[in-house]
Amino acid sequence: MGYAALWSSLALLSMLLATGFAYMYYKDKDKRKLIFAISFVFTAPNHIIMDIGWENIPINEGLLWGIFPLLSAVLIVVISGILDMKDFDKPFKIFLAVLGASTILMFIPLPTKFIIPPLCQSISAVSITASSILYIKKREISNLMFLLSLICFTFSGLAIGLGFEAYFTIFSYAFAYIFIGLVFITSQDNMKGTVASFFTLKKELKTTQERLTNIELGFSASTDAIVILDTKGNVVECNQSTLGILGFSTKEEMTEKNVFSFLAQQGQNETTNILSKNLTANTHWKGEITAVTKDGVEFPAEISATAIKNDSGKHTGFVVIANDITRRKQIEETLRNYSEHLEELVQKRTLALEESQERLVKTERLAAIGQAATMVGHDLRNPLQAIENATHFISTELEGLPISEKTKETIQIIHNSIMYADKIVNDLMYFASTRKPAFMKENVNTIVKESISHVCVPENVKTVVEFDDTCETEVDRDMLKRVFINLAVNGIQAMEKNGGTLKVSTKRANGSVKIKFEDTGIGIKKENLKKIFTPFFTTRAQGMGLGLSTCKRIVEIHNGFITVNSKTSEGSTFTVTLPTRRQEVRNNS
Amino acid sequence: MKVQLSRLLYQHEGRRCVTIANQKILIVEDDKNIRETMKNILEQNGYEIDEAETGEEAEQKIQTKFYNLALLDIKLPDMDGTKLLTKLHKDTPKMMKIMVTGYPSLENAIEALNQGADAYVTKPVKPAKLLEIIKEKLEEQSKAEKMTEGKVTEWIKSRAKQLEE
Repeated sequence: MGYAALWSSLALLSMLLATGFAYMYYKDKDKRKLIFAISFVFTAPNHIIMDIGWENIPINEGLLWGIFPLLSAVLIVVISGILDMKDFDKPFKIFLAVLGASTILMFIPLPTKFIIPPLCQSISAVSITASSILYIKKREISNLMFLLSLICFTFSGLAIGLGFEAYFTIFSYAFAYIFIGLVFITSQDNMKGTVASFFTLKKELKTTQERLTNIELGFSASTDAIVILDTKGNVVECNQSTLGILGFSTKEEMTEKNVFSFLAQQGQNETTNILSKNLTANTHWKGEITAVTKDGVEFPAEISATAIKNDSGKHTGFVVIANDITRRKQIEETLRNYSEHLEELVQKRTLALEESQERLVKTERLAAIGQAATMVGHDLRNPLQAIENATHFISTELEGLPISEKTKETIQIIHNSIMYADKIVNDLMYFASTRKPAFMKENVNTIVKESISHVCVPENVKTVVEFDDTCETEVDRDMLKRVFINLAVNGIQAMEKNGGTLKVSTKRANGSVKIKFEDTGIGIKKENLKKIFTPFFTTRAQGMGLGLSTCKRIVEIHNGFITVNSKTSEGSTFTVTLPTRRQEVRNNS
Repeated sequence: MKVQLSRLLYQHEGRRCVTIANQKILIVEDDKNIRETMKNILEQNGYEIDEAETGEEAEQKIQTKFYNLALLDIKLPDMDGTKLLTKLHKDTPKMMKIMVTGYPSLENAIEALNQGADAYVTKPVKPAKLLEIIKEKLEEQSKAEKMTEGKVTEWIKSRAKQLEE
């Protein structure tokens, strides 16, 4: 009876296995396992019968048919494995058919004693062969296990049939079942899947970890401040640079602070509007704000804020990248100042340039006029000579003849006009000439004296001369004489109507000598004072207005200057100031 | 020979008698008005006048006739006055030459005088002044001639004496 218990245990074991496989099926939906599960359920009682002895159990022999599902299952699975059937629907249906057939056969009186054993043996043989083929073909561990289990089953059957010791049978069965179990465990399809996916997962995890490390490195190494906020604006995560920019020492201080605590008072509202509006609408906002550090120092910052959404599109927070742009703003300010200043400079320069251009044009015009004047002057000399000659001749002819005063006067007028015309020509030529001055050490007083002696002083004019001690300077004698004569003549002419006094004086000052021509004549109008030194300016009916401009030029060639003081009806004073030393400037003139 | 020599002496002596008046002046000037009026003035003062309009004409005239003095305009249509001056100076060094110019400048004056001009005036020159200069230069000339003449006369006399002996 001990064996009976053993067999019963075995039977129970198989029941458990069957249930186990059924459970596995539920998990994997593997029809092969279902086949085995069902077949084990059917086989279990059969084992009990076969092992205890069917003679001892008063049951239908037909129950022996119960072994066929298992055998057929084995065969079906092996064959489908050989045939590489992925779709197990057909084999499953075949198995169900066999199952049905077995069930029906159980109730049909047949001489099972004689049919079943040889049938079992033959099927087992075929199965083993097929399984071997499968293993050779596929070389999978599960197939090997299967083969081994079949061998064990067959062995156990033989053991019973050949009357071996019961131990053989028991252990064969045990091993057989163990191998069956191993089949499922080592089933490479699943294992492949499980192990492979495990390795893949491991690899993916490693890659993900690496990427995460890189991202983390980038995050912490960035010189820009990167802050991750939640939907309400509270700080979730930030990098090292954020701490630096905002003046915090640890991340803990930052976390849970709201982003608005970092924004300056002014513009907070504006920022709120922008952030909430733009971010929810456009998911991205870039602009400049005024941020404030932990210590309350405000600074300009450029921020770029992006809304973060999760996979399902739900808004989960913001990532803000910020930059301290104080330096940039400073540079911008400097640049703006420079450009403004530059504009100012350019304006000034343009103005100066325009002025100098005007002057240049004027000078060129004057030069052109001068040239034309020179030519005219030149050509005038000939007719003047002819008139001069003719007048002389006529005058001589008339000598001794009784002629009227008027005739004499007329002849005199002709003479005077010729002289005047000659003077004009001379002035013109002189004005247009580019004669280089010849500087020599001279006594200015002497030159003044000589000049005055050349001037024709009318009766109603009194001359007074006042000389300072020897003023010796390096001058061009002829040029200066011209100046002094001109000034003296001007003075006399101013007193033409009512007469007056012409005072000429020289005075030595520090490093210079001043020569003054004072008259008590009609004076010069205030508005004309500026213009009198410009060429061709004259208020007189006679004269071309070149005298004073020539004087000015000569004086300036000597590195001096000429000034005038005048009051209408009172008189004018012309002062020529010359430096006593010419110094190195001499070479430039 | 004797007759020839004495004729020579007579001619020479005769010429001397003529030096005071009828001195010949050549006016070289391209402007007609100046030329004519100048001619009138000089003739008024007793000089014998000839005119030349161009430098070439002037050269021709001095080849054929002797002039005591020439008034040269510095600007002539065919050549520079200074060039003419040089030529005249080479050909007739004894003739007085007065440069008349419309371009007053020290350099020009110096150059002209170096080239052999005897005087230098600028246009428009006062006729009275010019007459003065002309008189002065002619006097110079006659003085110089007298000296030479004296020497020549002496030589002829001594030569004649020699020949007679």
